[in-house]
Amino acid sequence: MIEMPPESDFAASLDALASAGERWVWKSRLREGIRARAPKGIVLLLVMPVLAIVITALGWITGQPWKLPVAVVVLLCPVPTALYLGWHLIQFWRKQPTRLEGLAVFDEKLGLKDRLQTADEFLAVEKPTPFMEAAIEDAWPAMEKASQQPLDWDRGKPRIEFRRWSAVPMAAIVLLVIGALLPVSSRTKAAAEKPELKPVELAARPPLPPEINPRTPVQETKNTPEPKAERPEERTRKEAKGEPAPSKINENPSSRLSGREKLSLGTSEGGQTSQATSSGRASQSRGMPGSQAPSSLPENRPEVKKKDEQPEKEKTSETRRKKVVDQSSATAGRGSSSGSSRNPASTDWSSKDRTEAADNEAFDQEEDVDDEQSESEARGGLQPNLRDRRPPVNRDLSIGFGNRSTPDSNGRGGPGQRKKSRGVASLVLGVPVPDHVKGQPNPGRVKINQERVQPQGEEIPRGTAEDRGRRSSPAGHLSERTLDASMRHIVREYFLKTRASDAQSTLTETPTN
Amino acid sequence: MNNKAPKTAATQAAEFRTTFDKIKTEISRIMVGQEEVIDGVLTALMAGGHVLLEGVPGLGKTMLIRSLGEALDLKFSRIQFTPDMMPADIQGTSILVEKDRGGQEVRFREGPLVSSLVLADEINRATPKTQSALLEAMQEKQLTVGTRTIKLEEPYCVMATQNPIEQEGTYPLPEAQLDRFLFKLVVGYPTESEYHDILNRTTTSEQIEIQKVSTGSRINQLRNVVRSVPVPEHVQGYAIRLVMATQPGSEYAPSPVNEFVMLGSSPRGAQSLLLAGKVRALVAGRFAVSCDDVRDIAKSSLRHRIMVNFHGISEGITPDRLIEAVLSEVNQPNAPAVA
Repeated sequence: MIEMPPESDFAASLDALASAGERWVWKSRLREGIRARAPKGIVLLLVMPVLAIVITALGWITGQPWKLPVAVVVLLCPVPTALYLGWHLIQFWRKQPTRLEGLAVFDEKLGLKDRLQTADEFLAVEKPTPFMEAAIEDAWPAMEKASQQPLDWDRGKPRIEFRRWSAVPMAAIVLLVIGALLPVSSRTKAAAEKPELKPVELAARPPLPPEINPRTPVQETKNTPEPKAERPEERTRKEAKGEPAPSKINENPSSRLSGREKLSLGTSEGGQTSQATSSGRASQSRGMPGSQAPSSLPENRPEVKKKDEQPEKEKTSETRRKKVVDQSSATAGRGSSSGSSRNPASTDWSSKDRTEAADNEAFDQEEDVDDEQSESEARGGLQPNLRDRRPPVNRDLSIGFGNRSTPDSNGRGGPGQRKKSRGVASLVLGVPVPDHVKGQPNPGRVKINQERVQPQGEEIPRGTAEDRGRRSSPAGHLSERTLDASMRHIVREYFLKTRASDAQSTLTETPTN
Repeated sequence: MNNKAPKTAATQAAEFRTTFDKIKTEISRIMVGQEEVIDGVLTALMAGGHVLLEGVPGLGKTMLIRSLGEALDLKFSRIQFTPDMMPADIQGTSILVEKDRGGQEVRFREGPLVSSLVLADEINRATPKTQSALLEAMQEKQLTVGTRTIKLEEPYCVMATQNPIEQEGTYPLPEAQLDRFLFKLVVGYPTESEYHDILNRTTTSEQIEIQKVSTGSRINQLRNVVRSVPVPEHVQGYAIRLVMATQPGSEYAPSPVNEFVMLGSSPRGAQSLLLAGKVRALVAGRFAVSCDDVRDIAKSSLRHRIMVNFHGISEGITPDRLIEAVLSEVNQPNAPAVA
């Protein structure tokens, strides 16, 4: 309960309420701040132990043992937590609650509709209006109500789950113990082997790697996919010599040391010229869809394909192909290159508009890639891919394939989709016709039919302009024109004179004859 | 402290509350339910603004405005907008009339827009040209026809309606014109019990007559009282924050606003919040606006000022949902913040 001043001083009463509210806000913020930041602070207890372990491990690795007393680590453990909480405490101290915030607490908790804040603000106005004064007076009952009902500091349910977070200090202690015992354990071991050595030197030494016998043959496990890198010739050769197969997938990592001793051929195909094989293999007769990146590791040479390995490879290739097909089919405008993407000028993206081949065409991407690669190596460097095993595009324009099966129709990069009929629009020249495929929202490739005919100019005989000469025969009926009276007189006079002149000319000519 | 001044303010506030309740009670005699709509219409009338009503036909929008006009003894006119309506049809036009002593003269015949309470039915069916004629009257409180300027008498209130279903062949109001409405109220279907009341009142021989409870001049006085209500600084700041929070990219805008809003509210939204808040404070018996008043009328004031972008429309985001997000994210200025 808030002690009100003896005199009914409105301003003083508001001050008392504001002070009480500010204290409550301050405590509430402190409580909430601790609740919010304590978990992080507890976690920070692990920083020093982890740091100590890391430093110790680095010392072992580098062979420079560094003595790290456990007592110092224990003393330094609370430092990060203290820094973190101290920083936030400083920030919290700076944000002191304001007077209005203190009054807002009462307004909110008691549903006073901002009466106290409003009254406090209007009290500071020099010349309040009648409504301001009325608002101040209206806040008096609210103030009395607020003074009667003190704010309870609601502790609430602690947010920190002690059961859960109690493990953190325990973990810190465990780490400390581990960090303290590790030098001891290494010291005792080193003492057993070389008693004259000091424990510090032993602790600083890195641990010995497990013993490796490169000549130990690796035991194969069942149902492991055969690696494709090793050639049969090499394998038979090595087996005859008794050497292990370095290209096994399940081989002991230690045996890879022997593989590292092999010649590193890098990623360029030119370096593999010496390992080119003949191109007479049956597996090379297939087309090559798939990725563009050539494999360069000699271990990845393909083996002779076996029938029992084929289903597995088909599965992997099909899954790979399905991923390719699932890519966006935004191939509009990219042309109709449905061949192999082994063209060095093409990119991986262009290979993504490949179709998934029909079931009867089993492609083995990796094997074919390597076959192609070996062939190109035999020819010397990268060669254009001349084998396009895809059947030609089906140009059947009949409307509606219905349920007719057209096994040859695979003219676009879809998963076995038949070519869609473009209808009459395809007969119109210059009309871009998108090729919609069911299930794909984009229009796909757009084709525009054009005539490959160059326009030719026609030679039109030019008419010559000649003098038509005088009319030799009557012109025929001429439409009459209505002339004015004056014009009529002029025309009549003209013709009379003309006839008169003609008549005189004939009379003069006649006597001479 | 001056005892006379507070009494005057208290008396004014009491008179305002009394008149408001009387009008509301009188309208409720003929209107069943729709209390929020009635409150909104009266609030807009007292605040000096206009109302946009949205609802399907047959929910009593015309009856509401007509009842209000009868209760206030104000001239009421109804305009049914059609696509072929011209501005002269609503503003008025000059006509040739015969004099009593013979001869003819040109007289200006006022259109239905020259009134006190105007119900513009299906305003979105009118052409933009006709809409602009109406909106000039709303904003300027005057009409310009040729060389003639007609001042519209206060109180002048336009209540426009929109049919949310029939959108074909309509001319939606642009944002700049929607902004001129103080409120946008959504008229919903009545409840089952209200249906019984409606049928009992409208399908019997009993005729309900609306009594006059106030006048236009009294409404003007009450509007001045509304303008006298003070707004504390923290409440004004809260209204400003709410409006800013509806604008994508502002510091107070929550993530749904930044994602789904194309255009937020203009400063007219803040004006609407404060004016309507003053009316609500007086109706509640207080002498100053509070943050709760602003929160209560936020939806009505801002829902027609927020333009949802295409992404939001495709996601089914409505302006009301965005306003709810704004109200939940934006804190009051003096709210005790946790560290």
